[in-house]
Amino acid sequence: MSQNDFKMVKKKTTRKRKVRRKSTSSKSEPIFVGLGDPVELRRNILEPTREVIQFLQSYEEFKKVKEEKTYTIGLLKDDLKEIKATINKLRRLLPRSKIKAERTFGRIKKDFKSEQSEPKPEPSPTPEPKPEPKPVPVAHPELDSLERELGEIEKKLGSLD
Amino acid sequence: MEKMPVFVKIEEYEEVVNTTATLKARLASAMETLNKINQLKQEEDAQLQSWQSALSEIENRVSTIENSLHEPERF
Repeated sequence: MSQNDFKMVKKKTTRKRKVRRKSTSSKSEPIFVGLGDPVELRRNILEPTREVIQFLQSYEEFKKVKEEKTYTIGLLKDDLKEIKATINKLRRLLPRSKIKAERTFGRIKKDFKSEQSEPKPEPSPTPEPKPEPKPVPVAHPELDSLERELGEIEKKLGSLD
Repeated sequence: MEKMPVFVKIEEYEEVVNTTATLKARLASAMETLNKINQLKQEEDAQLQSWQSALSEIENRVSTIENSLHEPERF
């Protein structure tokens, strides 16, 4: 055995001692707790564990339901887009005119006469601004176009009142 | 003021009728989808409610355990 080996062995022994000291200092004295109903206590420990496991299982189901809901919301969005397109088609098919409730018979007659004098078969009173989506550099272009359309429709509705 | 009847000329009447029928079908489909979403939302709500009650139950049990450890039986 060389001198170096001897030193190494010595070092090891000192380390062990230190560990022992640490372990003895952190150890607390045992306390004995009397349990009136140990079975009930055991049940109180086991049942939450079971409930947490059930909780996790139901979370998986919840995730599935949520995914299905997201998918169905997408379907609804598609439906609404199609409805919007169909309404626009219907608007295109129906004649464009601003009919006001307060129009008197005389005014209608006057309009009719003026229509007859003009060669145009279907007079459009004022050229309505078409809902052309203007390119605006905004983060939500879809939302902006919807807002624009909504504004136009509200304007039209206001003119009907 | 006397209300006067208004007549409008519709060029493509057949198409208008067909489009209206399509629109009705789409609306029915949207309504069905919305009902489905509502049902799924109710399922989610029920699940959340059951989680809430489960957590309360666990909380009660943990309190019982804590009490039994802090206030041990005296012999």
